[in-house]
Amino acid sequence: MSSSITQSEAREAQFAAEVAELTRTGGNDARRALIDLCEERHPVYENQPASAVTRMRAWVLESLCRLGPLPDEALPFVLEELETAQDPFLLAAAAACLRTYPQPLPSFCDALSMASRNAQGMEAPVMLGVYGGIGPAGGGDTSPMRELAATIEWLGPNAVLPAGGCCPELPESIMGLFRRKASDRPAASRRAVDRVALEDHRGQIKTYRERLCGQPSIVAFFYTRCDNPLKCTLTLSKLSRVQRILEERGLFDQIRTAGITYDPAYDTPERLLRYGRNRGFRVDTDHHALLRATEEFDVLRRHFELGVSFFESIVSRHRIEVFVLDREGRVAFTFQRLNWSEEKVVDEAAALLTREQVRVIFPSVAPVAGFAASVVPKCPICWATYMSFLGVTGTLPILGPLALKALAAVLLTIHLILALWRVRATGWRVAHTLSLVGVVVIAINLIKTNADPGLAPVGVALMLIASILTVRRQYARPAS
Amino acid sequence: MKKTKTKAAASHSRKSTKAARAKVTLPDLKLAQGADGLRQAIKVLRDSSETLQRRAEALRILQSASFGEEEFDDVRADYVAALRELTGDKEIALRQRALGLLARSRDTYAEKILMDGLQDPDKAVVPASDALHYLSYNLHSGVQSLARSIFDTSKDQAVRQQALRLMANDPQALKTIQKTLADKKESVEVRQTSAEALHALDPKALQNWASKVVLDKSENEEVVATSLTALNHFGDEKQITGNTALRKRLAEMSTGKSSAKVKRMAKTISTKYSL
Amino acid sequence: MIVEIQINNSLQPAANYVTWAWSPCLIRVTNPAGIPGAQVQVQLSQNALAGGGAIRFAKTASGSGSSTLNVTVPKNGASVPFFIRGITASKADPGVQITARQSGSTASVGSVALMVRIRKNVTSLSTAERDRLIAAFAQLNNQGMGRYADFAGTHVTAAQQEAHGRSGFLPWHRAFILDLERELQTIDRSVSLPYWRFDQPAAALFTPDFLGKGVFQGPGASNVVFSATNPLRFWKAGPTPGIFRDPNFNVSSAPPGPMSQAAALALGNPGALFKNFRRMESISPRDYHGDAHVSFAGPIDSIPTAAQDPLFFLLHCNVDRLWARWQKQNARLDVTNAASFETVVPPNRIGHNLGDTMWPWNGDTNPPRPNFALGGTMAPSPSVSAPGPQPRVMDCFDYQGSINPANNMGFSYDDVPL
Repeated sequence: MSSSITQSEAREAQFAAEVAELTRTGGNDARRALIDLCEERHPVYENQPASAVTRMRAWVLESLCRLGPLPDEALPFVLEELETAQDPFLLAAAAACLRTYPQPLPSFCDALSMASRNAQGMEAPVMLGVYGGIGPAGGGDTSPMRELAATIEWLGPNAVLPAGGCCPELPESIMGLFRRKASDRPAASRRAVDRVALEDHRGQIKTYRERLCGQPSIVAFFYTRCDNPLKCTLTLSKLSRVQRILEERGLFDQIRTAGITYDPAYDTPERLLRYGRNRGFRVDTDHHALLRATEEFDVLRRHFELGVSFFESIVSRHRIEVFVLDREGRVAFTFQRLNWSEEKVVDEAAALLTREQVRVIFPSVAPVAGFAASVVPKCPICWATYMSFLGVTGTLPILGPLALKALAAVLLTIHLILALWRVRATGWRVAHTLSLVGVVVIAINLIKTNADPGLAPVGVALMLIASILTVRRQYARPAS
Repeated sequence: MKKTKTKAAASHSRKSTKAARAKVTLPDLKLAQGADGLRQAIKVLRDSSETLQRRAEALRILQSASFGEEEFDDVRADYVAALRELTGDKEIALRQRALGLLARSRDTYAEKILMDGLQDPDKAVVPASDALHYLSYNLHSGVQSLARSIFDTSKDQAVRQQALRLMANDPQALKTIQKTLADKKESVEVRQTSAEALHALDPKALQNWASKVVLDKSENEEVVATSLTALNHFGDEKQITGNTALRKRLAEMSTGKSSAKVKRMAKTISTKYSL
Repeated sequence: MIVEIQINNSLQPAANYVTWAWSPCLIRVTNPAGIPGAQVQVQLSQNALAGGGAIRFAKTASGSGSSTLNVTVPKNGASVPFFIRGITASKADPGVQITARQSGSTASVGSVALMVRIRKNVTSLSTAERDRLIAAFAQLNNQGMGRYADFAGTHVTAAQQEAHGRSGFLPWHRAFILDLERELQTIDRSVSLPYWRFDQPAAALFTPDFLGKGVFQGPGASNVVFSATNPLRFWKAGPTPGIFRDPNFNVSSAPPGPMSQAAALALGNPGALFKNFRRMESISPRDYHGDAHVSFAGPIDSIPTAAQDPLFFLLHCNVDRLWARWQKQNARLDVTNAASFETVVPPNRIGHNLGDTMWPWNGDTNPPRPNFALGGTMAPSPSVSAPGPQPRVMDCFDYQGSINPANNMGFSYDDVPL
């Protein structure tokens, strides 16, 4: 029999016991551990089939709520389950969990309303407090509808909207948990992803760099075998809506959209085309595509820090995630989980476009101004330092004292260390090459015993150019 | 005498057909209207002392009500609970119905029972082919890895066919499916199911295989007929018309010693593509 | 002299299909050579072609019509309207040829071929009709990659509220099966959806050459068996290929569950009220529709999976036929008659009131509608314009245009007259 299943069952049993132990132990550490377990990317879900992941996640939510009031950090997970869960245990657990939030917020009504619609047709006996949510002989003492009814009652007057009214948005402190601005990514993953081959719905293959660099992009992940109508189908339909908004705003040719599949082996171009077309995705331009990574999906997975787990080749669980990329293909903004707003996503992408357009208009002015601002000394001591440095390099050949040479060597070494440290963050660039050559040239000149300045000015010039390029690049990056 | 016998035989035949056509009378459970009646039906379903016919009728009524009876939502949870209980019932017919209904709604309780049964025959409540079929309603149940190993080890044709259908969703199983399709020692039914699986996974690969099979004069006629069906209904016109050997073979088949159905299919393809 | 004849006011061959309903036609002179005066008398007659069938002519869309028609056609090319309707169904395409002759002459001055395309009892289909139907289904399915996937993906749990348990059940399913039928007709125009009369035996349907043979009281769950030449063997509408359908009855007889047609038709009584008749959807212990579904163990027996099985559409064709019969018998085609529908106060859930557009054709994915809408708008027909790309509940009543010809949806049933 399949060892994958046997192993996954054994791990699941171990997981259930460990989470039960966390609940028994209690405290902030336990709570923290449980919140971490809510993340789809947690390694504990890897190589578990979807059914198991569902049981595990429901158990985590249940356990979290036994530890006391639901923290804000965990709220997005609970609300997402209410909105999208297709399993009775998970839905019931989420509904029960929400009641442990410190106070009932009016903005919970949207999620509860969706949950009530989802629950119809899913009603089944559930036993909370038992791993798997099912009692002896398949029975239970509650059900999704019962738990939802209790939660709606807990919501009290907040459950009743004024006539014609809409559910208020969640407070910004909570909405902010669904969005994330990106910080710098390690250079290695950035470069690796450039080379990933992406095949589109027409069967054309281009690299990540060719497809998703040069302009801001809006990227969502999905797969055609997703059987949750509240996830991938909805995501792609919303991405189609994003395209329409781009058209309305005149940005259709300036901002790319892409849907990338989690399931590249199965989602052939034909399947992608059909799926996208059926959800209104415009597939008639190069700018907008449905893609699969024919070989290096793991590189994409790391680059985007995707919230997805697999059991063999099948997706077990994934979160709803939409990314805004800058023109270098780097993640600038991530929208996660529920109800990501098509308008807001376009706003973020358009803002990137505006920033980059400003830089493009003033390409010569900006770096020079930046460089000038960075090198112009701002205090008398700095002035003295700069003059001394120039003096050392310029007068070494004239004076040639050993001490000055040693000082120059130390300064150049410091420069080299700082430059190499920078390479780790940004990857090797042309500027680093120029800087290194400049250092080598000056170093050779230092070794010379004659007074001829030789190529020292050339070395200085190379280092100056490297500085200008670095400042220009720094200016070109999005504000973080 | 002969005429009388024939007349009698015909009369008997008519009576048999009439008997066969006569509707079976369903037991009357004397249920109340609305949700109360549905609850009564659930009670009958759960009661193992009731006859199989009465319990089957109760299940029929409940399942029919699930299609739109407004009161059904009131009893849905109890109905699911009853179905889950039935998975351990003494009557295999009820176990099968219950597991099928639960599996189609992706009930994890039912899935666990089925998976356990596939891994440990002592725990099986239905035959392995049934279990594989029921689990196929949810690709995310994890059954695919089981399907491959079961296919490799089982000698039961029905089991292997169900396993193949599951493998139709697994790109990793492509080679196994192709190998099975090409293996003339395999039964015709298994090879035909492989063709169906290959068509679902890689239609172009199936077309290539179908063309080769038609050219193979030693191939089983049922397998040839299946290939012709694939070419006729899903074939690529350019590929077919551009294949000189195939065209020639189809022409031979249209007029030669093939069976009537092969001849008919060959003629249809030739006409369709103006070969 | 040459005349041009348009069926359904169209020159497209795709429009040359008629039902029992009156279809508008036009005739005009395209080559006036040999016409002495300002107009010419033309006789329209018909002859059966290989596909068979018969029509009637009339100058207006009323009455019983006649087997020939004389029309006066101006020489200047102006069109003259007339009407035709089918009275005998064709078995293949083309079925009937209309020939125009100048009065007093035997020479043809123009002709057009057409088909009287009618929804029939599946047991009455010829072998050729059967084979064309299953070929069209197989193409539409296309191993799960064809348009059929949209139909299977629409009739799922998420859409339950849109189409079941309330007044909109019958109009919604009428539109649903019409949409599929039109898609089949883009593949093969001669195809119409037959109905499975499930209160009668239909053994020929459940055979390897048609919708597959299952095993009654067999050893276990099994996929239906298809013959090697049946393209439905490559069917895929669920997660795995094949069709699973285990009969709970001996298929040489009718399934024992569904009530008889007569009993179902009487459900609306007293008063032939729609609000009572529509309970044929599901009412314990015996109903018409739900019991048909659960005659088998398989996807067909559950709402979320029922449309994965092509039998679903033949089943619902019969449900729709029953409604059509009820409408005809009780004069309930006019949607303005309160008894023709069930209007409730306060209004019913959206999608179940007369003026509501129906999902998924309206593309509405805002709550409480499902958040997806596969397949786009209603498939158009070259012959008729009703019910429109985004049909409303009220657009699905007068399906043959008996009240208003503009309502003609382009289908008829063999046993439900105009």
